[in-house]
Amino acid sequence: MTIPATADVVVIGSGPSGCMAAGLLAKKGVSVVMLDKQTHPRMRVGENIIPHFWKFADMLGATEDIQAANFVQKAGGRVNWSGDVSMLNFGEFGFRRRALHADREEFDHILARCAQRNGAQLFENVAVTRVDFNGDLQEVHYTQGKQAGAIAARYVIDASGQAGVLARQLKTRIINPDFRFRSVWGYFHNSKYFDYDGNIHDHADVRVHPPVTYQLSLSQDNHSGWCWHIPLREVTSIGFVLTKETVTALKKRFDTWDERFNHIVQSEPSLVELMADATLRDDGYYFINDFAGHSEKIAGPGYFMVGDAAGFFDPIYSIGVTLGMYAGSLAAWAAGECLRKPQNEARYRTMFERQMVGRLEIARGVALPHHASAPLDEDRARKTLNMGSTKEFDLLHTASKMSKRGHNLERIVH
Amino acid sequence: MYSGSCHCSATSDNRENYAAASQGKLPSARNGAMSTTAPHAAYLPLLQRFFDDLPAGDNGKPDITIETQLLASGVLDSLNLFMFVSHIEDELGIAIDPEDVTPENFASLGNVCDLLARQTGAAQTGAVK
Repeated sequence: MTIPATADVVVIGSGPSGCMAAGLLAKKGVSVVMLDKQTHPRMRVGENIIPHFWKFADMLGATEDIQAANFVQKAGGRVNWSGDVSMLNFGEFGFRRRALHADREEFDHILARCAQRNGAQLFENVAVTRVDFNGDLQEVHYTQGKQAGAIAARYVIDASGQAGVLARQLKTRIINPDFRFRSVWGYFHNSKYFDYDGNIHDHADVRVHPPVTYQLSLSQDNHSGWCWHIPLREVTSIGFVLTKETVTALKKRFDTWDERFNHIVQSEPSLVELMADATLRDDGYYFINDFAGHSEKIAGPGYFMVGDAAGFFDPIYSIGVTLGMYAGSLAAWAAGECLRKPQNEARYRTMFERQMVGRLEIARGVALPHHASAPLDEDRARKTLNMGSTKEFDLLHTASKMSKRGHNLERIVH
Repeated sequence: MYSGSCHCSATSDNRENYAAASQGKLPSARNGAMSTTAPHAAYLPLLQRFFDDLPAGDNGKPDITIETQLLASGVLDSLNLFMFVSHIEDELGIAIDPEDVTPENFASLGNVCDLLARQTGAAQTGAVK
Protein backbone atom coordinates (compact mmCIF):
# COMPACT_ATOMS: atom_id res chain seq x y z
CA MET A 1 0.00 0.00 0.00
CA THR A 2 1.39 3.40 -0.91
CA ILE A 3 1.02 6.52 1.17
CA PRO A 4 -1.77 8.66 -0.28
CA ALA A 5 -0.99 12.17 -1.51
CA THR A 6 -3.99 13.69 0.26
CA ALA A 7 -6.03 13.12 3.41
CA ASP A 8 -8.45 15.10 5.53
CA VAL A 9 -6.28 14.56 8.60
CA VAL A 10 -2.72 13.33 9.15
CA VAL A 11 -1.93 11.99 12.62
CA ILE A 12 1.75 11.91 13.55
CA GLY A 13 2.32 8.89 15.78
CA SER A 14 0.19 5.86 16.66
CA GLY A 15 0.34 5.61 20.45
CA PRO A 16 -2.82 5.80 22.59
CA SER A 17 -3.55 9.48 21.84
CA GLY A 18 -2.89 9.16 18.09
CA CYS A 19 -4.99 6.00 17.82
CA MET A 20 -7.95 7.64 19.57
CA ALA A 21 -7.75 10.71 17.32
CA ALA A 22 -7.34 8.67 14.13
CA GLY A 23 -9.79 5.93 15.05
CA LEU A 24 -12.64 8.25 16.08
CA LEU A 25 -12.24 10.48 13.03
CA ALA A 26 -12.10 7.49 10.67
CA LYS A 27 -15.22 6.09 12.33
CA LYS A 28 -17.03 9.25 11.26
CA GLY A 29 -15.91 8.79 7.67
CA VAL A 30 -13.02 11.27 7.72
CA SER A 31 -9.99 10.16 5.67
CA VAL A 32 -7.13 9.74 8.13
CA VAL A 33 -3.50 8.76 7.63
CA MET A 34 -1.34 7.84 10.63
CA LEU A 35 2.42 8.06 10.20
CA ASP A 36 4.66 6.38 12.77
CA LYS A 37 8.43 6.42 12.71
CA GLN A 38 8.49 3.07 14.52
CA THR A 39 6.65 -0.21 14.01
CA HIS A 40 4.21 -2.00 16.29
CA PRO A 41 4.73 -3.79 18.56
CA ARG A 42 7.19 -1.43 20.25
CA MET A 43 8.23 -1.03 23.87
CA ARG A 44 6.71 1.74 25.98
CA VAL A 45 6.84 2.45 29.68
CA GLY A 46 3.72 3.35 31.67
CA GLU A 47 2.05 -0.01 32.24
CA ASN A 48 -0.36 1.08 34.96
CA ILE A 49 -3.56 1.84 33.06
CA ILE A 50 -6.15 3.50 35.31
CA PRO A 51 -9.78 2.42 34.70
CA HIS A 52 -10.80 5.64 32.93
CA PHE A 53 -9.37 4.10 29.77
CA TRP A 54 -12.32 1.68 29.36
CA LYS A 55 -14.57 4.54 28.29
CA PHE A 56 -12.17 5.39 25.47
CA ALA A 57 -11.68 1.72 24.57
CA ASP A 58 -15.47 1.46 24.19
CA MET A 59 -15.52 4.46 21.85
CA LEU A 60 -12.68 3.09 19.72
CA GLY A 61 -14.15 -0.41 19.64
CA ALA A 62 -11.12 -1.86 21.42
CA THR A 63 -12.79 -3.28 24.53
CA GLU A 64 -13.14 -6.90 23.41
CA ASP A 65 -9.59 -7.05 22.07
CA ILE A 66 -8.21 -5.64 25.32
CA GLN A 67 -10.24 -8.13 27.36
CA ALA A 68 -8.99 -10.96 25.13
CA ALA A 69 -5.37 -9.93 25.73
CA ASN A 70 -5.90 -10.98 29.34
CA PHE A 71 -3.71 -8.29 30.88
CA VAL A 72 -3.22 -8.42 34.64
CA GLN A 73 -6.19 -6.93 36.49
CA LYS A 74 -5.07 -4.95 39.48
CA ALA A 75 -6.76 -4.58 42.84
CA GLY A 76 -5.80 -0.93 43.32
CA GLY A 77 -2.84 1.08 44.47
CA ARG A 78 -0.58 0.89 47.50
CA VAL A 79 1.66 3.80 48.36
CA ASN A 80 4.37 3.90 50.99
CA TRP A 81 5.48 7.51 51.23
CA SER A 82 8.08 8.27 53.90
CA GLY A 83 6.78 5.28 55.84
CA ASP A 84 3.08 6.22 55.63
CA VAL A 85 1.18 3.43 53.90
CA SER A 86 -2.14 4.05 52.16
CA MET A 87 -4.31 2.20 49.66
CA LEU A 88 -6.63 3.20 46.84
CA ASN A 89 -9.47 1.14 45.40
CA PHE A 90 -11.00 2.50 42.19
CA GLY A 91 -14.24 0.64 42.95
CA GLU A 92 -14.90 3.17 45.70
CA PHE A 93 -14.98 5.93 43.08
CA GLY A 94 -17.65 4.36 40.89
CA PHE A 95 -15.51 2.27 38.58
CA ARG A 96 -16.96 -1.14 37.81
CA ARG A 97 -14.20 -2.29 35.49
CA ARG A 98 -10.71 -2.94 36.78
CA ALA A 99 -7.55 -1.00 36.14
CA LEU A 100 -4.90 -2.98 34.28
CA HIS A 101 -1.22 -3.64 34.32
CA ALA A 102 -0.81 -3.80 30.56
CA ASP A 103 2.24 -4.76 28.55
CA ARG A 104 2.34 -1.60 26.51
CA GLU A 105 3.77 -3.09 23.34
CA GLU A 106 0.62 -5.20 23.05
CA PHE A 107 -1.84 -2.65 24.48
CA ASP A 108 -0.71 0.03 22.01
CA HIS A 109 -0.70 -2.46 19.15
CA ILE A 110 -4.33 -3.36 19.88
CA LEU A 111 -5.31 0.32 19.78
CA ALA A 112 -3.48 0.77 16.46
CA ARG A 113 -5.26 -2.23 14.95
CA CYS A 114 -8.61 -0.86 16.14
CA ALA A 115 -7.90 2.55 14.61
CA GLN A 116 -7.11 0.75 11.35
CA ARG A 117 -10.24 -1.35 11.62
CA ASN A 118 -12.21 1.91 11.87
CA GLY A 119 -10.68 2.98 8.56
CA ALA A 120 -7.55 4.92 9.49
CA GLN A 121 -4.55 4.10 7.31
CA LEU A 122 -1.36 3.44 9.27
CA PHE A 123 2.09 3.65 7.69
CA GLU A 124 5.02 2.58 9.85
CA ASN A 125 8.71 3.39 9.56
CA VAL A 126 7.67 6.77 8.23
CA ALA A 127 9.23 9.81 9.90
CA VAL A 128 7.59 13.23 9.60
CA THR A 129 10.31 15.77 8.93
CA ARG A 130 8.28 18.99 8.82
CA VAL A 131 4.85 20.44 8.20
CA ASP A 132 4.37 23.43 5.92
CA PHE A 133 1.31 25.38 6.98
CA ASN A 134 -0.43 26.94 4.00
CA GLY A 135 -3.77 28.07 5.34
CA ASP A 136 -6.42 25.60 4.21
CA LEU A 137 -4.07 22.82 3.17
CA GLN A 138 -0.99 21.70 5.12
CA GLU A 139 1.89 19.78 3.58
CA VAL A 140 3.18 17.00 5.79
CA HIS A 141 6.68 16.06 4.65
CA TYR A 142 8.05 12.65 5.53
CA THR A 143 10.81 10.21 4.80
CA GLN A 144 10.24 6.51 4.31
CA GLY A 145 13.65 4.87 4.19
CA LYS A 146 15.48 6.84 1.52
CA GLN A 147 12.27 8.04 -0.11
CA ALA A 148 10.84 11.44 0.67
CA GLY A 149 7.25 12.47 0.13
CA ALA A 150 4.45 14.74 1.28
CA ILE A 151 0.76 14.49 2.12
CA ALA A 152 -1.59 17.42 1.67
CA ALA A 153 -4.04 17.52 4.58
CA ARG A 154 -6.54 19.93 6.08
CA TYR A 155 -5.48 19.15 9.65
CA VAL A 156 -2.45 17.69 11.39
CA ILE A 157 -2.75 16.07 14.80
CA ASP A 158 0.63 15.73 16.48
CA ALA A 159 0.64 12.61 18.65
CA SER A 160 4.38 12.07 18.33
CA GLY A 161 4.95 11.69 22.07
CA GLN A 162 8.13 12.97 23.68
CA ALA A 163 9.54 13.64 20.19
CA GLY A 164 7.10 16.55 19.93
CA VAL A 165 7.59 16.91 16.17
CA LEU A 166 5.48 20.05 15.70
CA ALA A 167 6.48 21.73 18.94
CA ARG A 168 10.13 21.35 18.00
CA GLN A 169 9.49 22.72 14.53
CA LEU A 170 7.48 25.65 15.90
CA LYS A 171 9.97 26.10 18.76
CA THR A 172 7.21 25.95 21.35
CA ARG A 173 8.56 22.96 23.29
CA ILE A 174 9.63 23.79 26.84
CA ILE A 175 11.60 21.34 28.96
CA ASN A 176 10.29 21.99 32.45
CA PRO A 177 13.18 22.80 34.81
CA ASP A 178 11.04 22.27 37.91
CA PHE A 179 10.89 18.53 37.43
CA ARG A 180 14.50 17.52 37.90
CA PHE A 181 13.91 13.82 37.52
CA ARG A 182 15.39 10.95 35.58
CA SER A 183 13.94 7.56 35.25
CA VAL A 184 15.55 4.12 35.12
CA TRP A 185 13.67 0.86 34.96
CA GLY A 186 13.79 -2.78 33.96
CA TYR A 187 11.61 -5.87 33.65
CA PHE A 188 12.20 -8.55 36.27
CA HIS A 189 11.36 -12.23 36.41
CA ASN A 190 10.21 -13.72 39.72
CA SER A 191 9.54 -10.59 41.70
CA LYS A 192 6.99 -11.10 44.44
CA TYR A 193 4.18 -8.56 44.79
CA PHE A 194 1.71 -6.99 47.25
CA ASP A 195 -2.01 -7.66 47.18
CA TYR A 196 -4.51 -5.04 48.40
CA ASP A 197 -4.24 -6.20 52.01
CA GLY A 198 -0.47 -6.01 52.00
CA ASN A 199 0.16 -9.75 51.77
CA ILE A 200 3.09 -10.80 49.61
CA HIS A 201 2.66 -13.40 46.87
CA ASP A 202 4.80 -15.11 44.24
CA HIS A 203 4.38 -13.74 40.73
CA ALA A 204 2.79 -17.04 39.68
CA ASP A 205 -0.29 -16.11 41.80
CA VAL A 206 -0.96 -12.89 39.93
CA ARG A 207 -4.32 -14.25 38.65
CA VAL A 208 -5.32 -15.71 42.00
CA HIS A 209 -4.55 -12.74 44.22
CA PRO A 210 -4.82 -9.51 42.19
CA PRO A 211 -1.78 -7.30 42.68
CA VAL A 212 -1.61 -3.60 43.43
CA THR A 213 0.54 -0.98 41.81
CA TYR A 214 3.10 -0.35 44.54
CA GLN A 215 4.77 3.03 44.86
CA LEU A 216 7.46 3.69 47.43
CA SER A 217 9.30 6.92 48.20
CA LEU A 218 13.04 6.35 48.33
CA SER A 219 15.13 7.13 51.40
CA GLN A 220 18.18 7.27 49.11
CA ASP A 221 16.57 10.28 47.44
CA ASN A 222 15.26 11.99 50.61
CA HIS A 223 11.76 10.80 49.62
CA SER A 224 11.69 13.03 46.53
CA GLY A 225 12.41 10.12 44.26
CA TRP A 226 10.26 7.02 44.26
CA CYS A 227 9.93 3.48 42.98
CA TRP A 228 7.17 1.81 40.96
CA HIS A 229 6.45 -1.89 41.08
CA ILE A 230 3.97 -3.14 38.46
CA PRO A 231 3.43 -6.90 38.03
CA LEU A 232 2.67 -7.76 34.39
CA ARG A 233 1.66 -11.12 32.90
CA GLU A 234 5.18 -12.58 32.74
CA VAL A 235 7.48 -10.06 34.36
CA THR A 236 7.35 -7.10 36.74
CA SER A 237 8.14 -3.55 35.67
CA ILE A 238 10.27 -2.01 38.42
CA GLY A 239 11.67 1.46 38.07
CA PHE A 240 12.93 4.53 39.89
CA VAL A 241 12.18 8.19 39.40
CA LEU A 242 15.26 9.94 40.77
CA THR A 243 16.42 13.52 41.13
CA LYS A 244 19.34 14.44 38.92
CA GLU A 245 21.46 15.02 42.03
CA THR A 246 20.87 11.47 43.22
CA VAL A 247 21.71 10.06 39.79
CA THR A 248 24.94 12.06 39.77
CA ALA A 249 25.85 10.84 43.26
CA LEU A 250 25.09 7.22 42.31
CA LYS A 251 27.26 7.50 39.22
CA LYS A 252 30.20 8.78 41.28
CA ARG A 253 29.87 5.94 43.70
CA PHE A 254 29.13 2.96 41.41
CA ASP A 255 30.36 2.00 37.96
CA THR A 256 27.34 0.13 36.59
CA TRP A 257 23.56 0.49 36.68
CA ASP A 258 23.38 -3.03 38.12
CA GLU A 259 25.24 -1.78 41.19
CA ARG A 260 23.34 1.52 41.38
CA PHE A 261 19.94 -0.17 41.03
CA ASN A 262 20.86 -2.82 43.57
CA HIS A 263 22.12 -0.20 46.01
CA ILE A 264 18.69 1.46 46.06
CA VAL A 265 16.90 -1.89 46.35
CA GLN A 266 19.06 -2.88 49.32
CA SER A 267 18.22 0.41 51.07
CA GLU A 268 14.49 -0.39 51.08
CA PRO A 269 13.34 -3.36 53.18
CA SER A 270 10.11 -3.84 51.17
CA LEU A 271 12.04 -4.02 47.90
CA VAL A 272 14.54 -6.46 49.42
CA GLU A 273 11.64 -8.72 50.27
CA LEU A 274 9.79 -8.37 46.96
CA MET A 275 12.93 -8.77 44.86
CA ALA A 276 14.71 -11.53 46.82
CA ASP A 277 14.53 -13.94 43.85
CA ALA A 278 14.11 -11.38 41.07
CA THR A 279 16.35 -11.39 38.01
CA LEU A 280 16.56 -8.66 35.39
CA ARG A 281 15.30 -9.65 31.93
CA ASP A 282 17.94 -9.87 29.18
CA ASP A 283 17.06 -6.52 27.63
CA GLY A 284 18.55 -4.73 30.64
CA TYR A 285 17.76 -1.25 31.94
CA TYR A 286 15.91 1.58 30.21
CA PHE A 287 16.32 5.31 30.80
CA ILE A 288 14.41 8.52 30.19
CA ASN A 289 15.79 11.96 30.98
CA ASP A 290 14.02 15.31 30.87
CA PHE A 291 10.61 13.81 30.35
CA ALA A 292 8.78 16.78 31.85
CA GLY A 293 7.79 19.41 29.36
CA HIS A 294 5.03 20.85 27.28
CA SER A 295 4.30 22.94 24.23
CA GLU A 296 3.54 26.61 24.87
CA LYS A 297 0.95 26.46 22.11
CA ILE A 298 -1.05 23.25 21.66
CA ALA A 299 -3.29 24.20 18.76
CA GLY A 300 -3.17 26.63 15.87
CA PRO A 301 -4.58 27.03 12.39
CA GLY A 302 -4.36 23.55 10.87
CA TYR A 303 -3.02 21.66 13.88
CA PHE A 304 -3.72 20.14 17.28
CA MET A 305 -1.24 18.56 19.69
CA VAL A 306 -2.21 15.64 21.92
CA GLY A 307 -0.64 13.23 24.42
CA ASP A 308 2.95 13.75 25.46
CA ALA A 309 3.47 15.93 22.37
CA ALA A 310 1.18 18.47 24.07
CA GLY A 311 2.72 17.95 27.51
CA PHE A 312 3.78 15.50 30.18
CA PHE A 313 5.07 16.32 33.62
CA ASP A 314 5.28 13.48 36.06
CA PRO A 315 4.40 9.78 36.16
CA ILE A 316 3.30 9.79 39.84
CA TYR A 317 -0.45 9.42 39.14
CA SER A 318 -0.18 7.21 36.05
CA ILE A 319 -2.46 9.54 34.12
CA GLY A 320 -0.33 9.78 30.95
CA VAL A 321 -2.13 7.11 28.90
CA THR A 322 -5.69 8.13 29.80
CA LEU A 323 -4.95 11.84 29.48
CA GLY A 324 -3.52 11.05 26.04
CA MET A 325 -6.62 9.05 25.09
CA TYR A 326 -8.78 11.93 26.26
CA ALA A 327 -6.74 14.50 24.31
CA GLY A 328 -6.86 12.34 21.18
CA SER A 329 -10.64 12.02 21.50
CA LEU A 330 -11.06 15.75 22.07
CA ALA A 331 -8.86 16.49 19.03
CA ALA A 332 -11.02 14.10 16.99
CA TRP A 333 -14.05 16.12 18.06
CA ALA A 334 -12.36 19.45 17.30
CA ALA A 335 -10.91 18.44 13.93
CA GLY A 336 -14.15 16.70 12.96
CA GLU A 337 -16.16 19.82 13.74
CA CYS A 338 -13.66 22.04 11.90
CA LEU A 339 -13.99 19.85 8.81
CA ARG A 340 -17.77 19.89 9.02
CA LYS A 341 -18.18 23.57 9.85
CA PRO A 342 -14.99 25.37 8.71
CA GLN A 343 -16.49 28.77 9.46
CA ASN A 344 -16.35 27.94 13.18
CA GLU A 345 -12.76 26.70 13.19
CA ALA A 346 -11.39 29.32 15.57
CA ARG A 347 -14.10 28.60 18.11
CA TYR A 348 -13.50 24.83 18.21
CA ARG A 349 -9.77 25.38 18.40
CA THR A 350 -10.19 27.74 21.35
CA MET A 351 -12.37 25.22 23.17
CA PHE A 352 -9.83 22.46 22.57
CA GLU A 353 -6.96 24.66 23.67
CA ARG A 354 -8.57 25.90 26.87
CA GLN A 355 -9.64 22.45 27.94
CA MET A 356 -6.19 21.01 27.25
CA VAL A 357 -4.37 23.86 28.98
CA GLY A 358 -6.62 23.31 31.99
CA ARG A 359 -5.85 19.57 32.02
CA LEU A 360 -2.12 20.13 31.69
CA GLU A 361 -2.14 22.80 34.38
CA ILE A 362 -3.91 20.40 36.76
CA ALA A 363 -1.33 17.73 35.94
CA ARG A 364 1.51 20.18 36.56
CA GLY A 365 -0.14 21.69 39.62
CA VAL A 366 -0.82 18.46 41.47
CA ALA A 367 2.58 16.95 40.75
CA LEU A 368 4.84 19.54 42.36
CA PRO A 369 4.45 22.24 44.99
CA HIS A 370 6.77 24.74 43.30
CA HIS A 371 6.50 26.09 39.79
CA ALA A 372 9.53 28.30 39.56
CA SER A 373 9.69 28.23 35.78
CA ALA A 374 6.20 29.57 35.15
CA PRO A 375 3.32 30.53 37.40
CA LEU A 376 0.44 28.13 37.34
CA ASP A 377 -2.69 29.22 35.49
CA GLU A 378 -4.70 28.37 38.59
CA ASP A 379 -7.88 29.94 37.26
CA ARG A 380 -7.86 27.73 34.17
CA ALA A 381 -6.98 24.68 36.28
CA ARG A 382 -9.80 25.44 38.72
CA LYS A 383 -12.38 25.85 35.95
CA THR A 384 -11.33 22.56 34.41
CA LEU A 385 -11.46 20.81 37.79
CA ASN A 386 -14.98 22.14 38.32
CA MET A 387 -16.07 20.62 35.02
CA GLY A 388 -15.19 17.16 36.31
CA SER A 389 -17.42 15.02 38.47
CA THR A 390 -17.38 15.01 42.25
CA LYS A 391 -16.13 11.43 42.28
CA GLU A 392 -13.33 12.25 39.88
CA PHE A 393 -12.24 15.09 42.11
CA ASP A 394 -12.38 12.88 45.19
CA LEU A 395 -10.26 10.31 43.38
CA LEU A 396 -7.62 12.87 42.43
CA HIS A 397 -7.63 14.30 45.95
CA THR A 398 -7.27 10.85 47.52
CA ALA A 399 -4.48 9.89 45.12
CA SER A 400 -2.61 13.14 45.66
CA LYS A 401 -2.70 12.77 49.43
CA MET A 402 -1.13 9.31 49.19
CA SER A 403 2.12 10.74 47.88
CA LYS A 404 1.81 13.81 50.12
CA ARG A 405 0.92 16.16 47.30
CA GLY A 406 -2.65 16.83 48.40
CA HIS A 407 -1.83 20.38 49.44
CA ASN A 408 -1.05 21.23 45.81
CA LEU A 409 -4.54 20.31 44.73
CA GLU A 410 -6.09 22.03 47.73
CA ARG A 411 -4.26 25.23 46.83
CA ILE A 412 -5.66 25.16 43.29
CA VAL A 413 -9.19 24.63 44.55
CA HIS A 414 -9.18 27.42 47.11
CA MET B 1 -18.95 35.56 31.59
CA TYR B 2 -22.12 35.91 33.55
CA SER B 3 -23.90 39.17 32.96
CA GLY B 4 -25.50 39.16 36.37
CA SER B 5 -28.98 39.08 34.95
CA CYS B 6 -31.85 37.26 36.55
CA HIS B 7 -30.90 34.12 34.61
CA CYS B 8 -27.70 33.70 36.57
CA SER B 9 -29.07 31.50 39.25
CA ALA B 10 -32.25 29.66 38.65
CA THR B 11 -34.51 30.11 41.63
CA SER B 12 -36.57 27.23 42.85
CA ASP B 13 -39.57 28.99 41.29
CA ASN B 14 -38.41 29.02 37.74
CA ARG B 15 -36.97 25.52 38.19
CA GLU B 16 -40.50 24.36 38.80
CA ASN B 17 -41.57 26.21 35.69
CA TYR B 18 -38.96 24.37 33.64
CA ALA B 19 -40.14 21.08 34.96
CA ALA B 20 -43.73 21.94 34.20
CA ALA B 21 -42.80 23.12 30.71
CA SER B 22 -40.97 19.93 30.01
CA GLN B 23 -44.08 18.01 30.86
CA GLY B 24 -46.14 20.17 28.53
CA LYS B 25 -48.10 21.83 31.33
CA LEU B 26 -47.18 25.38 30.47
CA PRO B 27 -48.65 27.46 27.69
CA SER B 28 -46.72 27.52 24.45
CA ALA B 29 -43.51 29.45 24.29
CA ARG B 30 -45.07 31.79 21.78
CA ASN B 31 -47.29 33.25 24.42
CA GLY B 32 -45.45 36.56 24.37
CA ALA B 33 -46.76 37.63 27.74
CA MET B 34 -44.91 34.78 29.45
CA SER B 35 -41.82 35.42 31.49
CA THR B 36 -38.46 34.68 29.89
CA THR B 37 -38.34 31.28 31.58
CA ALA B 38 -40.91 29.65 29.34
CA PRO B 39 -39.35 30.09 25.89
CA HIS B 40 -36.01 28.60 26.71
CA ALA B 41 -37.63 25.66 28.47
CA ALA B 42 -38.93 24.83 25.01
CA TYR B 43 -35.37 23.74 24.20
CA LEU B 44 -35.53 21.03 26.79
CA PRO B 45 -36.75 18.05 24.73
CA LEU B 46 -34.09 18.68 22.08
CA LEU B 47 -31.41 19.00 24.75
CA GLN B 48 -32.56 15.81 26.46
CA ARG B 49 -32.35 13.93 23.17
CA PHE B 50 -28.55 14.20 23.35
CA PHE B 51 -28.53 12.15 26.53
CA ASP B 52 -30.80 9.49 25.06
CA ASP B 53 -28.09 8.75 22.50
CA LEU B 54 -25.23 8.51 25.01
CA PRO B 55 -23.94 5.02 25.74
CA ALA B 56 -24.72 3.82 29.25
CA GLY B 57 -21.80 4.38 31.59
CA ASP B 58 -20.32 1.98 34.11
CA ASN B 59 -23.30 2.71 36.35
CA GLY B 60 -26.14 2.55 33.86
CA LYS B 61 -28.14 5.35 32.36
CA PRO B 62 -29.70 8.01 34.57
CA ASP B 63 -32.88 9.94 33.81
CA ILE B 64 -31.96 13.45 32.82
CA THR B 65 -34.24 16.12 34.23
CA ILE B 66 -33.85 19.86 34.20
CA GLU B 67 -32.20 19.64 37.60
CA THR B 68 -29.86 16.68 37.08
CA GLN B 69 -26.35 17.73 38.01
CA LEU B 70 -24.73 16.96 34.69
CA LEU B 71 -21.09 17.74 35.48
CA ALA B 72 -20.93 16.87 39.17
CA SER B 73 -22.58 13.49 38.56
CA GLY B 74 -20.29 12.75 35.62
CA VAL B 75 -23.18 12.27 33.14
CA LEU B 76 -21.59 15.02 31.10
CA ASP B 77 -17.85 14.35 31.16
CA SER B 78 -15.11 16.55 29.81
CA LEU B 79 -15.40 14.90 26.40
CA ASN B 80 -19.12 14.63 25.72
CA LEU B 81 -19.54 18.15 27.10
CA PHE B 82 -18.10 19.28 23.76
CA MET B 83 -20.24 16.88 21.80
CA PHE B 84 -23.18 18.44 23.63
CA VAL B 85 -21.98 21.87 22.48
CA SER B 86 -22.02 20.53 18.90
CA HIS B 87 -25.47 19.07 19.46
CA ILE B 88 -26.78 22.47 20.57
CA GLU B 89 -25.29 24.10 17.49
CA ASP B 90 -26.63 21.49 15.10
CA GLU B 91 -30.07 20.95 16.56
CA LEU B 92 -30.91 24.42 17.86
CA GLY B 93 -28.77 26.52 15.56
CA ILE B 94 -27.28 28.37 18.53
CA ALA B 95 -23.52 28.89 18.59
CA ILE B 96 -21.83 28.56 21.98
CA ASP B 97 -19.00 30.96 22.68
CA PRO B 98 -15.87 29.37 24.20
CA GLU B 99 -16.21 31.89 27.04
CA ASP B 100 -19.54 30.33 27.89
CA VAL B 101 -18.19 26.79 28.23
CA THR B 102 -18.02 27.09 32.01
CA PRO B 103 -18.88 24.70 34.83
CA GLU B 104 -21.71 27.03 35.86
CA ASN B 105 -23.40 27.19 32.45
CA PHE B 106 -23.38 23.42 32.00
CA ALA B 107 -24.09 22.35 35.57
CA SER B 108 -27.66 21.32 34.67
CA LEU B 109 -30.08 21.55 31.75
CA GLY B 110 -31.73 24.40 33.64
CA ASN B 111 -28.48 26.33 33.50
CA VAL B 112 -28.03 25.43 29.82
CA CYS B 113 -31.53 26.74 29.10
CA ASP B 114 -30.60 29.98 30.88
CA LEU B 115 -27.48 30.23 28.76
CA LEU B 116 -29.43 29.66 25.56
CA ALA B 117 -31.97 32.27 26.57
CA ARG B 118 -29.17 34.77 27.04
CA GLN B 119 -27.61 33.76 23.73
CA THR B 120 -30.79 34.25 21.78
CA GLY B 121 -31.41 37.49 23.61
CA ALA B 122 -34.31 38.85 25.59
CA ALA B 123 -35.43 40.86 22.56
CA GLN B 124 -36.36 37.65 20.80
CA THR B 125 -38.49 36.37 23.60
CA GLY B 126 -41.45 34.67 22.06
CA ALA B 127 -39.74 34.10 18.73
CA VAL B 128 -38.40 30.71 19.66
CA LYS B 129 -40.16 27.81 18.01
